[in-house]
Amino acid sequence: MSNQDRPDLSLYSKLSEQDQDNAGIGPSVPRVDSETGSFVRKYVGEAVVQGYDKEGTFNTKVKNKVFLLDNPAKDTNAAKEKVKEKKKRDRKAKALNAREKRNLKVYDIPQDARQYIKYLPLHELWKSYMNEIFGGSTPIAFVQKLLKADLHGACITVTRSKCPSYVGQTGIMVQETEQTFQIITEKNALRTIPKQNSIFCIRFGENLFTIYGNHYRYRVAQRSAKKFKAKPTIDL
Amino acid sequence: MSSFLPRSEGPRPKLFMSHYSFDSHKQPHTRLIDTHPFNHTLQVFLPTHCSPAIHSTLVSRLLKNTFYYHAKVPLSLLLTPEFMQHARNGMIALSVDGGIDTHNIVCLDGNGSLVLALTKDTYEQLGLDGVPSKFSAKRQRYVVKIDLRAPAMVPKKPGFERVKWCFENTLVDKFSMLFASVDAEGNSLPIEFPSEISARKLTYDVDVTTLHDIVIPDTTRIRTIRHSNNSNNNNNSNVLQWRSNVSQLHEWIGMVAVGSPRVLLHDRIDPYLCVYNPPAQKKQTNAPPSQPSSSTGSLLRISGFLPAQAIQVIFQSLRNVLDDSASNVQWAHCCVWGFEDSPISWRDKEHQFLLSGENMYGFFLWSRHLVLSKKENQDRGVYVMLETVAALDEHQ
Repeated sequence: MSNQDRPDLSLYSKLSEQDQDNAGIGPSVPRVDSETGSFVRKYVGEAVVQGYDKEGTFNTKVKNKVFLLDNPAKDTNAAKEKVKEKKKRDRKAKALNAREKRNLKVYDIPQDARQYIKYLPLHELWKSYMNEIFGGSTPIAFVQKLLKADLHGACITVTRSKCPSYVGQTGIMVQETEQTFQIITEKNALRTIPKQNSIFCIRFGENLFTIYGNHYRYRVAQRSAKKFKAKPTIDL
Repeated sequence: MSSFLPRSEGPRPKLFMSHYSFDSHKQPHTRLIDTHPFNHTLQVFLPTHCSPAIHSTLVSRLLKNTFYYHAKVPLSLLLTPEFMQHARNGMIALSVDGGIDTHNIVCLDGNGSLVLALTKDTYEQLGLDGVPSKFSAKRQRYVVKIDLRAPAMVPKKPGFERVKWCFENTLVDKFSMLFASVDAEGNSLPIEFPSEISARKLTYDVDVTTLHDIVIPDTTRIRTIRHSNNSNNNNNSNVLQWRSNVSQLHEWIGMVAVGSPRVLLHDRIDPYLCVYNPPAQKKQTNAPPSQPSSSTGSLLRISGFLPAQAIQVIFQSLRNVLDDSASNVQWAHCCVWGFEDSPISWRDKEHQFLLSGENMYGFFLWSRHLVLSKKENQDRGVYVMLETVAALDEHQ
């Protein structure tokens, strides 16, 4: 508005007061009657703290400014609902819960993919990954790294279990969850073996590593940060 | 401190006494002998000198053609076709290293069932289905039963293949076992072992001891349980009296078996040192009442891995000896001991070792030519059957 006082700077010229009245547009700055004007000037002069410029404050902060002294008007219902809608649309897509996952079969391996030979390349990949970590160090030092390693593609065997029918199950591990291993056996069967109450063996090179399932029941992501402590018993 | 003592007494071994007749249609003695597969000693007590005739009747037929084997075998051997055939024929086998409550014991009862009594570690590594043992601490011992006579136990079937895999991969230990295979008449059948297993062929040990100057008690008292017509109380007391008589005689036989000097005629032991009183002797009509007379007795002992059929044969010959009037034997006692470390005592009944693992049975038999008084049971085929069962045993 201040630029309107300088016609050489403003892009638009000011509408004359007559034209404003004809168009039905009220004055952009409401007219101040003289009583209010003098009262306000005097009031500001008294209110300003000693030491500050009274005239300057009035000119910059109060003159030709519009102050809202009451509370602002509340948004109407329509406006509120509009805001809510927007929020809903912008909300992040929530994760599926377990029931939805099972129904949509998101993590299931389809029947035609359950062939042992298809996972042999994964096994080779895992072996080369192990070689990278292993790097020729001693098996004892390697154990610490193995605990945090990813075992997808490892050839895993159940050697000891409270349930006798799990003993002897061997295969390439294709999925690991918090509580189970899913392995694919040589006979193309996908077996889900709970980690609890079982002891597993992983063969790597000429070394055989034993994993105690009872103490290994963490998600893969959690396990990489987990500090494994010595337990009072490794009995099943 | 009293809180550490056990509240209850705990299980105790039991002695079951029963009174039957050979002439009745029920034959509990046959059932008892047939269902007790593993026996290691048989002892016969005769109240007379064991003449060569008696000896030959009892023993000769037995020794002609009986033997058993002792070999150290892996369990996979039992699944080979030859051994499966033997198992179907009724072979018995028992592993003899270690106790039933500490080690793994394997046995083959005469019905074709392979019973493995395993420790927790072995069971968890084996991979075959089993049940926890009823008598051990919770989940410390397991019993696996495999029926080798089942139609599913044929090569190429998944059940058989799984058992075979387990015996070849997870339980490869060798067990030191005794094997015996007999046909129905009691003749032993030979068992062929593969060449890498050194099997020893053994025969039964027969031992005869003659006991001189012993005081033999009167056994006719236990032939009869008196039934009075008065009231129930009297009947009960008669039965109790009978029971105490039987247990006294049982104890006396035990004294004889260990060779205790208490049964001798001239035994004068201070009653402070030994409180044993032998049961009363039969009253002789000629001699004065309080004077015991000496007699001779003989103990015949056969030890080895005796299958039930062999016991049947000897039992039958003993009855023949008794019934033969020429031998003049009034009565006899026959006692059979089972293995203390066997997983089963009587067929399918689980057995454990607490302070002892006895599972033995015995018979009191009488001759058919006895002179019976009026009060006695007139049935000439009466016998008394005794079963001693360990504290931790399922047999009733």
